[in-house]
Amino acid sequence: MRINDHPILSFPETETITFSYQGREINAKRGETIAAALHNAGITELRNSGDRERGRGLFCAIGKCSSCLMKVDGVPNVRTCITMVQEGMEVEKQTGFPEIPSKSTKLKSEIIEKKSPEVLVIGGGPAGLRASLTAASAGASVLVIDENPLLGGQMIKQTHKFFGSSDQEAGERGKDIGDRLSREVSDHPEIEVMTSTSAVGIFEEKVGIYKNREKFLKVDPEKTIVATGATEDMIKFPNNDMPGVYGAGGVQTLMNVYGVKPGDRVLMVGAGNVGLIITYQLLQANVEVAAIAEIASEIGGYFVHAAKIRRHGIPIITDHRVSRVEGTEKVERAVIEEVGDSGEVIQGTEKKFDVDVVALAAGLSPSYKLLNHGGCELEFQPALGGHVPKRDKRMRTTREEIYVAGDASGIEEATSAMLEGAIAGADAALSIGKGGPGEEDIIRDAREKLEKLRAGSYYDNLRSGLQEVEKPSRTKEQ
Amino acid sequence: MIECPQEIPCDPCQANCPAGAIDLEDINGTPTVDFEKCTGCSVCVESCPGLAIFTVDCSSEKGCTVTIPYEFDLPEVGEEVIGLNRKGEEISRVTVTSLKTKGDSAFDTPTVTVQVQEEHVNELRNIRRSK
Ligand SMILES: Cc1cc2nc3c(=O)[nH]c(=O)nc-3n(C[C@H](O)[C@H](O)[C@H](O)COP(=O)(O)OP(=O)(O)OC[C@H]3O[C@@H](n4cnc5c(N)ncnc54)[C@H](O)[C@@H]3O)c2cc1C
Ligand code: SF4
Ligand code: SF4
Repeated sequence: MRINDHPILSFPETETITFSYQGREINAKRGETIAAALHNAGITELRNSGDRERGRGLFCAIGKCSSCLMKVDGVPNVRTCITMVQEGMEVEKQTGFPEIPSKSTKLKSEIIEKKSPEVLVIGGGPAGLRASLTAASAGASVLVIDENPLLGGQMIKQTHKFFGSSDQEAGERGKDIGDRLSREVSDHPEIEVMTSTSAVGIFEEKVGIYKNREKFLKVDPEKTIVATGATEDMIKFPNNDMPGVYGAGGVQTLMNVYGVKPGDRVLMVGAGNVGLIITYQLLQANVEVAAIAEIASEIGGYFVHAAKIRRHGIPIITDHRVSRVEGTEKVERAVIEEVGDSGEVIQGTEKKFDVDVVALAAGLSPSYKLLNHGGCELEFQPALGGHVPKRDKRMRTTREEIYVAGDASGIEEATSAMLEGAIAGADAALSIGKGGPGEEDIIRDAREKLEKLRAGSYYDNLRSGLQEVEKPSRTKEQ
Repeated sequence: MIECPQEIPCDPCQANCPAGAIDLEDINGTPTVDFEKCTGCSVCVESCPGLAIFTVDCSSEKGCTVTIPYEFDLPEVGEEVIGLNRKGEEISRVTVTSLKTKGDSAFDTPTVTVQVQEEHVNELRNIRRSK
């Protein structure tokens, strides 16, 4: 189910390669992930759950959940949504709790390399890329890693134009902004880029250990900037683990990055900006959307995004929750029900939709685990999306050598992620004696822009959440 | 016609209007058009990231046209398409009088202009190809 004609995107022809799935030969495009190739071939059940043997399919498609773990070339627990398919690969469905192979197999864990960049940036989304550029321009040596095969984070799938101020990137499509930043970073002489590389832990004495599918790396940076983005939230309902229930962002990755349709007919859950935008993008990819179900009484996303899909006749059904999905092996139907003022289900209000995809756009939570592991103090702030690190206005966490930026510091937008990245990058450089007054200007300017962006009434909650987690700077306040 | 009633941080409509016809108190304000100044050039339709602007032009003797931003499979000039309202309901059949592809558009958003009966100019906000 490839997308052939798209009004905004083009998917270049690449070489066709073959790999095997359960011994069966499958064609794939070079440059796509294993999960995308399997989807295109109509295979959506990728593994069984460990204990109950329930089928599981793709969910987040960016390497943040465990729904797509498969056995690849004999190695279990491979995240097939971020692993590129290779000629001759042997892919197997993963069942039960597989045994971790010993060193003698293709997992060459004995290879350990050391690296000592001045600044390590974890995550190559808009926050991490802007942080890398800012630190490198101040003269610091930078290593930026991302566990996805492509740089750009969530930007690479945003085919819509961004809001914001026209003196920044407003009016440009997210994808174009991401591509431009990625190019600048890749071309910068002071920045080393490693994709398909995960940070697996932040340890004491500033040592992080990072894996590169082939080898482990011990990185010993002076400063670390954590820009790991966010994870899509799951919601509770019977059969929510059935193949066909996706994170909305996962659907977006499949169709906008890899040009593969997630299915034929979709029920979108959640009418925040993410749900609204992805609904519109599904229509652009020629996928039918049955409706958007929203549990709240009001549409959470922007008026203009809702208007864009309303005029295509897509109903937005508020005050409704998903009560279950039905199907034998994968989603065949979704059922929603009306909820009353105090959240109680109103009997007799069931509505059924024949769909093969249920996309959850029920919120995002900051990816805080590395920060937690690294001992940075966290606080639970619902207005920021969940657990976030305490930090000062220069994005320094409670561990002096660790910074945070972007969605990992609280769910916001790409524009604010880039501004926070600039602040973290500039301060990291200053703190190791690089840069100068120019970097102070960058920080001051970015803070001013952040304040302006967050000034509208739409952001009242966000502002009070931020006030709670931003503690005073150690140095003079800007 | 700007249909952007919410305070969101956004300003390309105002920043790019060649006639200076769009007023926005600050980036979080809601835009308003000074129709005395507006030339109907539709630059704002192309520049608005929210696809929230439409131009209605009844100045010609031949009747009224509505220009909409349209990021789907484009129709052809002269083609009869189905006109839809804000809820996606059919209102009437209309004819495409001109279009701008993504490449032609100053801001990368394709637009479609259709000939519309005067009573529908404030209703028609989308089209569908009849195929
Ligand atoms: C549907 C949708 C629409 C949106 N629309 C807009 C919009 O119109 N305007 C706007 O401004 N914003 C928009 N956003 C939000 C914007 O995309 C995000 O706020 C922004 O991408 C956050 O940037 P980030 O760099 O913090 O995180 P991300 O872009 O998520 O990047 C984080 C990166 O870190 C990597 N990573 C995570 N953990 C590890 C690890 N352990 N090791 C290595 N790498 C790791 C990930 O692979 C990822 O590439 C939208 C988001 C979505 C989902
Ligand atoms: S149509 Fe042209 S002149 Fe009128 S408001 Fe839009 S950009 Fe300005
Ligand atoms: S450019 Fe569009 S979305 Fe932005 S303020 Fe103007 S009308 Fe609203």
